[in-house]
Amino acid sequence: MLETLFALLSFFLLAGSVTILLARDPALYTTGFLAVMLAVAGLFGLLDQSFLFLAQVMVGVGAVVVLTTIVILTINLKEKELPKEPTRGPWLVLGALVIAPFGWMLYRGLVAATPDHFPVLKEGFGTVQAMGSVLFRDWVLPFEILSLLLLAAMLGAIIIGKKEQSYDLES
Amino acid sequence: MSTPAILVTLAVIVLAALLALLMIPVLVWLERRVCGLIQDRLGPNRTNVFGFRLGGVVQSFADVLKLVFKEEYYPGHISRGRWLFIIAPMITFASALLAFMVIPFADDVVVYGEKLRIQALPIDYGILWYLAIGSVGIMGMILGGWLSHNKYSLLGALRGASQLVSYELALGLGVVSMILTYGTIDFNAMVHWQSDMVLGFLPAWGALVQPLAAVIVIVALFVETNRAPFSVAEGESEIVAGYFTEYSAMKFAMYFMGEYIAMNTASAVIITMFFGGYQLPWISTETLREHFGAIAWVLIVVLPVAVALFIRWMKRNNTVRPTVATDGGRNFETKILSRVLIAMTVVIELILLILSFLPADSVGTSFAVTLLQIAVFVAKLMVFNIFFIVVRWTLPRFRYDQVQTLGWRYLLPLSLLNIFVTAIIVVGVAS
Amino acid sequence: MNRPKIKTVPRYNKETKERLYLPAIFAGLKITAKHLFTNLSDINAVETLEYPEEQPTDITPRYRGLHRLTKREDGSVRCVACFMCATNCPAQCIHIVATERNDGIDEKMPAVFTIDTLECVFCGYCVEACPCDAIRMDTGIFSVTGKRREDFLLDRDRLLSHHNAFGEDTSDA
Repeated sequence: MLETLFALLSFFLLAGSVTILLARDPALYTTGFLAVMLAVAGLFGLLDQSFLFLAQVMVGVGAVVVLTTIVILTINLKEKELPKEPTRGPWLVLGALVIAPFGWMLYRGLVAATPDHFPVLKEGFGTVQAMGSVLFRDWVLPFEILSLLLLAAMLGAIIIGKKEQSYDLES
Repeated sequence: MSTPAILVTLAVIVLAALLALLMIPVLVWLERRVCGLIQDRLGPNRTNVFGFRLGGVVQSFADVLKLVFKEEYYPGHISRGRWLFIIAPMITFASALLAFMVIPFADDVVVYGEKLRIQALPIDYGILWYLAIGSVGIMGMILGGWLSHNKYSLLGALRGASQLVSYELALGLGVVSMILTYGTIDFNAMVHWQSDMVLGFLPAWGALVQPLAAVIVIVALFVETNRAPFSVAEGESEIVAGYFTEYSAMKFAMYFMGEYIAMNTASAVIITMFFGGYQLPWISTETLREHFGAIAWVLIVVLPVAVALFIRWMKRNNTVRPTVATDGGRNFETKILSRVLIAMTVVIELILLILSFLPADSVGTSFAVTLLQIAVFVAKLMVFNIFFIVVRWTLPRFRYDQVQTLGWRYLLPLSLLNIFVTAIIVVGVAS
Repeated sequence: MNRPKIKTVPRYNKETKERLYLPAIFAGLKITAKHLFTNLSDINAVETLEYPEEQPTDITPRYRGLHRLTKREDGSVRCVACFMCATNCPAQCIHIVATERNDGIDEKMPAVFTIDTLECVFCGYCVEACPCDAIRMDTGIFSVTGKRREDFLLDRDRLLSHHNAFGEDTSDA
């Protein structure tokens, strides 16, 4: 049961990734992106990591994919406006060759690992409650600094956006 | 898991699917009848099977049959990515259905030492699941509007998406204040919290403890379900039908059904978070189990009275004016239905009579308590669905900028304020 | 600034109670709920026609129903095939073929007189245009049904077979 689910989710993950790399059609690309995000969320869910699962669905799908899609569809790309990529195939092969050793290392590492290489998880690891306790007890200062950083980034984006507009109004 | 536990789990899953899927035709029928009665019309009341019209609910099944057998039409400009065009409504439908699966219909039952949740997906982070899955549903709308290659669809999708994204903030923050109050993200634990009392006499329902959060979340849920007065994504007067302009037959039906399931789910979430869920007011599950004998006797008395009143109402209202030549078999239908109802009442009365003599900790009692709670839940669900429908036929549609103004300038600051106040009170009570 | 033609419309929703929306929304809900429950408690009070069983009673002589061709005293067709109605028809739904009339009553009559009710907009201009009062819309027939498109083509005989719903079949000319 779990193995079947794992295989299915992995299939969707890989199919989505390949679609993202190869698709010329922006709609197909978006769907691939959605499939990847959902499959990753599903894999987290299979591992009982409910917090990561929820964050992946809420942030990954609800924010990232939705906003990316809105951006792509507002650009309104036509077939003839898509960039010509004659060297696309060679680059893909080259990229795969560069990545290949890392993949091999990962594979070797996984094959060599025995069950006692993996620490047994505590009860409730990865649940929303456990995650919240860690974030807001042990890491509360870094967490808040991070949110300040995000706030600063957002303010910066707004100011940059505003500035161009006011130039337009004056000229 | 033992065999009874598996059976109970399966029954719960089937019940959840039925409550979500069978509710669609009922809701479509209710929408049309309630709208008709509000506007001093009758609404669909003619379709019948062997003379049984059940107030016209058969019409919905006829509509479903029509939609299934309609021609699958694809506009000529959708040559590429046709399968994506078909997938889009499925995403909406599936996510609406999945979101309903975390609603608890009754309190946990213990079967052979195993504690079973009466919800189709036995997870303890229900409200977060609802928010997360709700955000997946947006994708179906955006994809559908985009792939239609139609400006009206695109505008509808953009409107819907921006509206959902902006109200998700108010919804999320309103929910956060409820999470602070209840101290949990588990729907079932929320209902448990609400079976207490506040001020000594009021049931501790979320709507009474946190009225502001209740208003914010209910308004935000109206937006999330894309229903009037916030249905700008499908504003007929401006953009034809919004994101499903190009959809026909079963593809359209998928969007349509997804919308009604979403409404059903929103009602269920409102009930569970603000109106005590499956709980009767003032009566917690423990009280129900302990004093089930007494409650059974109350039911034995109340049920025949309610059925008699209903039959009287049906005799008066399942008719036509005396000036009309034929009543189309309504009289006969009333007769048969009253007999069936009386027979059912007698059977239920007998069962209740047996149950009232069972000891408080027996399997039968806990089973009956579960059934009673499911009945209460369904009754509340229907009340809120009708509330959704009445609101739709009362309020005119907001303009698009009014929707955004309400979301960003009123609901968002209010929900932030509500969080601050709630946090101060919660910390104050705890220390 | 003197702008005499601009009228400033006062904004009425400045009060806090009105800006809250909710009281007004509940007032509206009260009205709809009242309608819902009154009609639920007595469904026959709803002012609705049970249409196929109950027929409308408010069709007046001025109602523009289905057309009819009037007859002379001897029962023959009054129309002289002058084409006034067909010329005047904005929907161009009247099709006439004229033929000679040899019985001494008149010189012309329609051999074919067809009205396509799928095209007709029931404006009554044909009745206005007719110099002989040969076409009228006083049949009181308000519903035209059929299973094929041909059923909606009213030919001469069918038009002659219609009767005045509000009096004698006579005409003034």
